[in-house]
Amino acid sequence: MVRLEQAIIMDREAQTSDTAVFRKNLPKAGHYSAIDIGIRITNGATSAQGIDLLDALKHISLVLNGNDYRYHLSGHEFFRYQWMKYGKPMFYTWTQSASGVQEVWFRMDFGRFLGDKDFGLDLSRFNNAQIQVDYDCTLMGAAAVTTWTTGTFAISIIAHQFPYGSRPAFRGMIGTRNFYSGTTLASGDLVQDLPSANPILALGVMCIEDAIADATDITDIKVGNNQFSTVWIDGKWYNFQRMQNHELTVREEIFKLFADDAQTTDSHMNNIRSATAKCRAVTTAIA
Amino acid sequence: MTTAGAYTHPDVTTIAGNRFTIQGHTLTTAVAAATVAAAVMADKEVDVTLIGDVGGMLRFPLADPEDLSGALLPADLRTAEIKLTQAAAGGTIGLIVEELYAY
Repeated sequence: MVRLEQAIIMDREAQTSDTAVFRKNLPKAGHYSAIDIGIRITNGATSAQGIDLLDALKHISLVLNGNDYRYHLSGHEFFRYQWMKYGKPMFYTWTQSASGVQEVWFRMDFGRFLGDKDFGLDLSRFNNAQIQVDYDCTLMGAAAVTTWTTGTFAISIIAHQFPYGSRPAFRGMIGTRNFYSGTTLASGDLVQDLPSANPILALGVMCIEDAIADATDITDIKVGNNQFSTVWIDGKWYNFQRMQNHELTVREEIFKLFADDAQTTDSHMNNIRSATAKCRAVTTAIA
Repeated sequence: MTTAGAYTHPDVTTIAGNRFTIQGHTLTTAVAAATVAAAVMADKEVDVTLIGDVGGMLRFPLADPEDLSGALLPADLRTAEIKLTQAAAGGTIGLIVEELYAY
């Protein structure tokens, strides 16, 4: 197996704008097995109560030749989808501490695994390859001492690449993208065509609403063709969730609050079976 | 010897979907006669651990992870659809495909 190189394309590069579509052109040549993207932001000087960095990430994309979106996922979609795919979340420091730094990472996998010689991103096949991060920090609220600090949104990009002397001849690459976004209605079926230009390796269905149990907004999922004369997937959300979460190696989320009384927090878990909270500091004295 | 001071303790009081609520309590005066005061926690750093399911995401693998057999091919996909049965308003939906692009 070839030892991959980790090429640092960007290292915690702070953005002057709090709302923008960040664009970074990739080199004209290179054989990438994956790209890691890290996002950081600094909390306000007092706290960062009630904010989630994923809210600010409207889309993270890999765009080829200007309009071919091979990766295109929101922060919430990306974080959850890769957790379900790999069985564990990528690195995420979620903290509300004063002046704390929140950080979350995403991985664009172009092969079946890191170092796959059959599938990967061959940059020489495209006129242009660009990473885009469409972000809006104000979706977490206005910058303030109790939210986040302006001018601290920072991006890192790291490529897992094959060494120049042992570049494989890829047969193709894998991409993961959102093809429909919307909001549920109180009743009725939502039917969407599946993309048909390329083989589909996996499907993801996200439905999130704060303070609502999963399987409430969407109860059933069915996938098939020819007016569902052929059915590939058919079942209840709650059954699929139990089966799929059984396969995960990490089924917990750990984070730090800056907490007041009666404080509510919207996590990334559902069907929560255990929730524990403990203060970091205890003050005692001799009477 | 008696011990005094303040000991703040958070309880998780309710869980609704992905949302949980904590309630603070502070033990004060001598521990031997501890009084429990509610609603007195403010600006405390609290470590939280949740155990459950990944919220709001299902992933359906269709292809074998090694040889990719079983993928839905364009011929299958020409009339392919996904149908979601809706039962409550307000959920944010995202439909995602993991695709194989040939060179």
